[in-house]
Amino acid sequence: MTDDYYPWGGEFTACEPQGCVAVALLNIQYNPPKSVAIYGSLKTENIGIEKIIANTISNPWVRFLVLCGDDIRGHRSGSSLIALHKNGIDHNHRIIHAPGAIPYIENLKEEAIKRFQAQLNVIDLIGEKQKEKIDAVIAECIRKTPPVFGEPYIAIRLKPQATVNLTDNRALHSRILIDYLGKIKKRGA
Amino acid sequence: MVDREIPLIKAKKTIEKDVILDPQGFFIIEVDNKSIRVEYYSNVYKNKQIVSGVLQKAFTGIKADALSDTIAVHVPSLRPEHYLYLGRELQKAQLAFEQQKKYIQGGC
Repeated sequence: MTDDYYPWGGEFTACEPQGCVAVALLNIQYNPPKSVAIYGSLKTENIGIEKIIANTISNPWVRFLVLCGDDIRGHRSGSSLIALHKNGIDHNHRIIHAPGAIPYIENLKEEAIKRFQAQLNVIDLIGEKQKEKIDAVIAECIRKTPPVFGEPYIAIRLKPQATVNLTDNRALHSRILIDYLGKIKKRGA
Repeated sequence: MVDREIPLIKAKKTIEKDVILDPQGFFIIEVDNKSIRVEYYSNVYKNKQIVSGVLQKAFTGIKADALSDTIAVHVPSLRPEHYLYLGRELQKAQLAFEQQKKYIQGGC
């Protein structure tokens, strides 16, 4: 299930597949209610943000992204994500007006960013660390029961690759012995 | 009388500011309850500084040795200290995976 909904994968917890809330955790120890679709930590203002975008627009049921906890010092990942949602990126792939040190989006097309801006409502709870308050905001989002946002948008999919097992020493030719790297180890009898 | 003298070199950790970043790219290692995942990125430079990476390949497994061998085949030409760093980190990741503990990727 997880791979279908979140094809890039990553360090996150998938909960209710048709939940409408995703939660990005900044500097905070907090477990959201299991009624959310997905939650996980946001660390970096470049690849970290890209993964959140890819793993939310791939599930059209997700309509809210709640950011909570203290922003990451130096990276300012939470504030950079809000800037991306508001302003997009410039011709240099830099998030416009992002406060982070290196807020560059290199793995997503502009279309994916536009989809993120249209599909998700970002709820800015940066600085908020009280569980009761965050739970209440999440519950309020869920109560709104927003409609599903069309078809999934798959920005990146990890495609399993067939691997050839060459770990044995059987002769592929009666007089040639091949090693595990496929190199000729011995010729002749 | 000594037939041969062999250099005995005392180990010294390279301090962080002297670490040379690999021009071939970098890796992100993550551990979840199913596997260890390694993503390989090529560097993205802006003003001669590495600011991000483009995802090139991803690897999954549960053993450091299998991941190390596979990465060495699929990502050739890294700096030697980068391969050694990967080996160390993957061993830590395997330990975290087996003991179901949180893994945080360390620096070089």
